[in-house]
Amino acid sequence: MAKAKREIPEINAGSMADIAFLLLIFFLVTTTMDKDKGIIRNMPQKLENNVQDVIVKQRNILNVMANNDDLLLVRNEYVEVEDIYDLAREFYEMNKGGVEKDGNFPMWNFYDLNTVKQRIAEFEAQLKESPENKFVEKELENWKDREEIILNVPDIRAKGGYYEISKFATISLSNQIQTSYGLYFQVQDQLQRAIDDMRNEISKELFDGQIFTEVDAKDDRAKTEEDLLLIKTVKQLVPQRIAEAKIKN
Amino acid sequence: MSKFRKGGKKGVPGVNTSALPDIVFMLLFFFMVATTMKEVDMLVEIEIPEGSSVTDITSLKQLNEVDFLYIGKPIDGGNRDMIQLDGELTVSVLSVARWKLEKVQSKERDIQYIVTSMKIDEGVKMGLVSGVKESLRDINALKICYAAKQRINN
Repeated sequence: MAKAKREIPEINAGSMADIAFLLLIFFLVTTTMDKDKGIIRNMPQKLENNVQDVIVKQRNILNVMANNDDLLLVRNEYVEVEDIYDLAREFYEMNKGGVEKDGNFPMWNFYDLNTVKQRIAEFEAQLKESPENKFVEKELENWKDREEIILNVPDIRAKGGYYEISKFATISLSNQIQTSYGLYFQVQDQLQRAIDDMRNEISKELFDGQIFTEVDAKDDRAKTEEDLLLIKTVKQLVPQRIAEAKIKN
Repeated sequence: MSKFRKGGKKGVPGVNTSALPDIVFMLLFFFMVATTMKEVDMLVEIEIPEGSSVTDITSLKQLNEVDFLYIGKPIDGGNRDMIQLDGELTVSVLSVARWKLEKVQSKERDIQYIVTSMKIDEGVKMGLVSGVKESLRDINALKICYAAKQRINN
């Protein structure tokens, strides 16, 4: 005999909206809409023992100073914050491509495969003599990166090498105690924008129009081999060396 | 009386609200996706600067690899710039190091990978800011972030 059809009573969903409202209001109250953004900086490691001062030629330093009255001094001339972008680009690009236009700006050196290999051999020999030397280790790593770039980036391989700004070229920032953070931040922002723009131009040129800042912003796990090569190359060609002096009274 | 009036009681038919939960859920999901959790209630007043080349650190925040500290003038009066570490206000830069070490203990990653995002009011003086930075440097928390808003027009 056929079973009697039994009606399943409908579930009352009338309070579903109440529950959803409750959750909605919870999220409205506890969350914020604005994204967290900022300029990321890596501070240098604290040195255990006092290291000897290294004397660097004036031409290799872009000195940016902000004083207690929020006035900016770049290479001993008063400037506005907005000028820093152009000054930073000028500092990097004056002698670009090895053409010595102005002796007051950092030199660009040409690295070809032979020089690089020679240097690697030299530093490997040095490392054997003093295995714990951090400086030699770092230099060796640096030269190996250059070798990798010459071998793997098609445009650079075709030319047999590339030009790189002097490894001493540094932007030096100094502040006084009463300098406002607002000004300090704007200086950092202008420098970052100058470096980002130069890096993007280089990566567009060498890597089929890819944009460095976009590739770099990818999640670490999503980066491919090519992405890593791009990042390494661009960072080597446009290094970001910003040194901060100890604060003055 | 009127020809057209029909007999019997006639109530207004109830509005069908069965789609209401759907609408509310839709809103709920929108807010869940588009917003992030507030870190902490603010005890200091902060107007962070605007920058044109800022990086998004939201993904780091979701991985719990960012700690936030705030520097500005206290909301309930006072002219002195103060540092807010979670729920606590202080003027001593040494407590920043202590706070950071405590924060890192609960995380799996090494201290040098965890970003310290500093939300600092534009008017704060660099003396205090560099004190905080030195304090972080002492404990090897080297990755910092100067929090900023994206400038709309360059």
